Amino acid sequence: MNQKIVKLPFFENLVNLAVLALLALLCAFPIVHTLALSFSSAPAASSGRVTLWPVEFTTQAYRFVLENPAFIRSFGVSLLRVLVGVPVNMLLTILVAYPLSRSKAEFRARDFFAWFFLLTVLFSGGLIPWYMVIRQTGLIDNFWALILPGALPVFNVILLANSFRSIPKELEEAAAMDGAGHWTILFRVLLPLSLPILATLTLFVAVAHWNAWFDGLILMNSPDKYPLQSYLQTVVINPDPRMLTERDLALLQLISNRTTRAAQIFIAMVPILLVYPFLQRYFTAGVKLGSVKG
Amino acid sequence: MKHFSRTQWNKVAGLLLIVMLLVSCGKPASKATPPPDVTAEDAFMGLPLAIPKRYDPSIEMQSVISVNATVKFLGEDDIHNNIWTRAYEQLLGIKLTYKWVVDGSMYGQKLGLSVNSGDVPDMFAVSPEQLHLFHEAGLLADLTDVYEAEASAKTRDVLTQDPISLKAATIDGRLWGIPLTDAAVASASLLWIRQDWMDKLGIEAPASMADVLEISRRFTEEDPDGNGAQDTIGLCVTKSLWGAIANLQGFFNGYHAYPGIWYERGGSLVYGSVQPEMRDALLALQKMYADGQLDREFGVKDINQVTETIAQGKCGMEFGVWWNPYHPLNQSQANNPHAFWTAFPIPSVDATPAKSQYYSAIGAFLVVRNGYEHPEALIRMINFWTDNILGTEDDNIRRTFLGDIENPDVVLYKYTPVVLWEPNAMIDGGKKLREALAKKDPSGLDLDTQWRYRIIQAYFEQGTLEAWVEVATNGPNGATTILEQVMRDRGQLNRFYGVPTATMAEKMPTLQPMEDEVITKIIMGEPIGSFDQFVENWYKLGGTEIVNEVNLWAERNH
Amino acid sequence: MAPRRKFSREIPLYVMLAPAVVLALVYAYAPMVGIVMAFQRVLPGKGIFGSPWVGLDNFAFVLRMPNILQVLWNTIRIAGLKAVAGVVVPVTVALMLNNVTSQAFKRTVQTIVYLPHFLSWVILAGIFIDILSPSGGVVNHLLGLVGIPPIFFLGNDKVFPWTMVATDVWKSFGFGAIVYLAALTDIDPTLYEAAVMDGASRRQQTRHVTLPGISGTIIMLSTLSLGNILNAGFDQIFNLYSPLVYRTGDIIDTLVYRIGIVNFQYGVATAVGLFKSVVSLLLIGIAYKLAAKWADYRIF
Repeated sequence: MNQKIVKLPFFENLVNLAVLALLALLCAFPIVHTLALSFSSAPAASSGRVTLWPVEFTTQAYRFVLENPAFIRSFGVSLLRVLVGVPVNMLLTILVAYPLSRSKAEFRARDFFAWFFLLTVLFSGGLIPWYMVIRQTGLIDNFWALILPGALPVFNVILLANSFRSIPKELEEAAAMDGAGHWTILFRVLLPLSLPILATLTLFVAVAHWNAWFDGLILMNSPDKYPLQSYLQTVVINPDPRMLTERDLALLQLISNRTTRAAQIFIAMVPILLVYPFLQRYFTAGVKLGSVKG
Repeated sequence: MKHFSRTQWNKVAGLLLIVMLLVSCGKPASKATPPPDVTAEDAFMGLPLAIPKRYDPSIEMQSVISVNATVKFLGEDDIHNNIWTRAYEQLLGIKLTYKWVVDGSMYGQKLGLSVNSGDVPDMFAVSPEQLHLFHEAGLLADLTDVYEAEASAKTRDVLTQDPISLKAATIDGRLWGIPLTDAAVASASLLWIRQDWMDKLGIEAPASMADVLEISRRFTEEDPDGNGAQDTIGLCVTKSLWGAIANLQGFFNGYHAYPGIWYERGGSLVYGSVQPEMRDALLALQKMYADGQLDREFGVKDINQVTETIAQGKCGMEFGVWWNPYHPLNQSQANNPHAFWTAFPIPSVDATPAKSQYYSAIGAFLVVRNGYEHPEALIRMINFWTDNILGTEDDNIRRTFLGDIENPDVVLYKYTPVVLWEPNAMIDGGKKLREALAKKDPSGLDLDTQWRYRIIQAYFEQGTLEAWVEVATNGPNGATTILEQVMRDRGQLNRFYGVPTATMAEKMPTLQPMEDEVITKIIMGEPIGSFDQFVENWYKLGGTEIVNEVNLWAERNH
Repeated sequence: MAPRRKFSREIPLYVMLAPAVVLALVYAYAPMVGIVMAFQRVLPGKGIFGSPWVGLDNFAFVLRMPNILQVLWNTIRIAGLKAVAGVVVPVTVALMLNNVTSQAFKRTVQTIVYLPHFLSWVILAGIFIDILSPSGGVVNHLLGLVGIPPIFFLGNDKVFPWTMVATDVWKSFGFGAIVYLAALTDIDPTLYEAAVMDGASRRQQTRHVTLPGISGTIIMLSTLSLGNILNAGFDQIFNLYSPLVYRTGDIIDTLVYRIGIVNFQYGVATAVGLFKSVVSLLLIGIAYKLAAKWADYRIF
């Protein structure tokens, strides 16, 4: 963004920074606490002795999660899911956002399609029909079940369409006068000017794919095919206390273990944290042409 | 020609190897007397097994199963290929395959989705509600005849030890599933007390609820952990109020109140939570809370938070089931190696002994798809389990099919859905262990019990502190001993074990939270009049119909 | 222009839409047929076409629940507050971040506030029970320093809905801020230059350039969140509620969850889902019309 940032008056600036710093601290505290838990011993964690620093430092929780071959497998599945899912989602998002961002004059059926897609978010037949359709299309226990059914995030489409619409019309008109068709306008004019929103949406889609756990658990027929978060869920789900028997003891002890749960969160978070700064650069990048010459 | 002779030598060597293996494995490995109806020729890796009739040619059976994060395998085995699948195939002629395998938490949902989509497995486990629903939909096979024809004596024995088991699986006089039995009394609560605190303060075992209240007071006021601060409480309770850990039903039982269950009174079944006995117990709890003997925030703390309270050594008593020492009570040692707990039968508020309430253990049934050609296959698999595994004294059999002490993480019986437990086994096993301890002679025990025996001995003879867990559960005065008494005449079984009635399904989602809310709030100080109001509302908002429906059901199911 | 020429202009647009339309038809509209289950007693294995019809029985079943009105109100209240806070807080934070000159500070803060999004409510429950404890929790400790008596955030049914809103905002404002920050970049810099030349102060710039600039995004996101008006956050509430706060904390989804435990009727759950969808549609429709009339803003 090339916005000229006029510096705030000193006092206001200070207050601004202080409040933001406080917010950051508020958010950081539980994260640091969870990180400390993940590196603490189970007895220390369960007796509440851990605040912001590990007590009785140990990597046991991490080793427990990571050394399980299921972890490596599921990590691979998730990686593949993101590598395939993100381009698919983004491409579809772009292809749908563009027509929806056209004016009524340019695209007479625009409203129809807008509601067509919006309704898919509002109405659902529930789990059973969804499962049945996925089954009928042969995707149960298939990797593509993690990609195709959710391939069009309507929320992102709306965001992108709005972003397209805020780009000055003159740029498109200029390109059209030079003989550019829709495809050219989309890829040569609009997209390059939309880097911040595209980076944002890429992040959202990547995170959504990375964090999704329910579809993996319910659509796969074998734990071998679980993506990462599905696998991790199996070590943290809270059992109904009224239905416990001593056969569940091993599971109960496992689940009660705060350190395992804490390690689980960080293991899942790390890849996102690695990707995030890379994308962050684009959030505020992109030079908008200030005006149209001529 | 060298080429040929090497191959030939290889073949010979290979044959020799195989022969040697066969020879060494062929000898029966155990001296135990084989069970009565064994067909001696069939030996699975040399074990004396009773094999029900074998399908020849093999048949296929498709099932589904749930595993969880704790299920581990040996070597190259996995859920589709392991000792159990091999046993079924080689010994029974049943090729068992799993259409899908999911995490335990998803089993109910996945099964529902699968069945609703038309994928019905040949044999699978269902909950009691699903049993009735699937039966109504015509999806289940009638097992009455095959059960009559093929169930072995031992199977019949196991399934009738608890008179409820088969009844729960019977609809309109026919049998639709095999109940997966277990010891019902295992769900009875006991009073667990920090024994080291009792010793420190010179407190005797409680003989009445008055004693319990006194102990609670002393634990709160007299600094039992000796740290100079008044930071301990007498009784810990979770926000869900009921359950296997830190519950309140045990406390109520001391006052002859039985919240949440149905029992006989004046010739018909009544619901415990609305009976007058609840009042005195509530008043006592209210006083305890006011005096700081309960965690002020117990109303928002779930099992995990209460476990932490226990781990921090802040609480002295809790009502829970027999296995609590394994978890969470063992956590007390996190901060204090000398911490340990003892179990006590629930004391009574008056001269009549208290009864500990418990529930039917039938949580699941094995069913067969309507239309599957071999419904008797399920009975045979069950026979195989009950005749050979349940109550076997042969350690090799146990090691092969159940698990090995050397590899405690590998629990073999989790690989198959056909697993039931003898309702009486826990009590009988406890008796045997106690006898062995008294005689100081572990020879008659199986491997697992021998291991328990050794641990208990270690506690007494070597002072191994961690071993208190085993002493508290299975030792001479441990939980299982108390449960024996509970089952005899100190227990109150929930007399309603059916599927929720029509009005229950309609109203319980509202009535249950109402009950929990009122109880929690009264304990925290609301006047006891709220309870009377609750009882009135309970009947008005559907309770009356529910009582009628339950009693109708009782008439039909005697 | 001749109509045919006009239409050929539109063909690329249809081509672009085609793959998404196919996917939507298969994976969104086909399953929607299942909505009819809301009017059936769903028998497993019989499917949609074999299960008996029960008309509005499933709806009646839920509406007959003694506390249904309270539950509905709780849901609307909590979801409504979350919707408002879910716009106000991220926008404010985005504006504040926008005023920061140091890129390093900006990026660091942006990253940190996004992190709570990744913590699950299961683990947050444990953390919040500690932090919000009326005896020894950090928050009450700080309140005590300014003379405020301890508040039982999770156990007082008057305070509980606010606690749910606050904790949820805490968890998700970083995510929202990112969207608004991206929207801020869409504002034409020449508008700022013009304002500065007119002598506008910082505050005036914000009022007259920035806010109007992202008003479209705000309206759009607010409207979309209306689609969520009856989803008050099952995961969060399920992990944090207790009998003490049922009166104000019980929402539609927790009620349906409890129904599901005693009643395996898919029909009921579908009926509730249908109800929620219809309400969402109505609200979005109303918001759309209002936005078009008052703010002259077409959402799409």
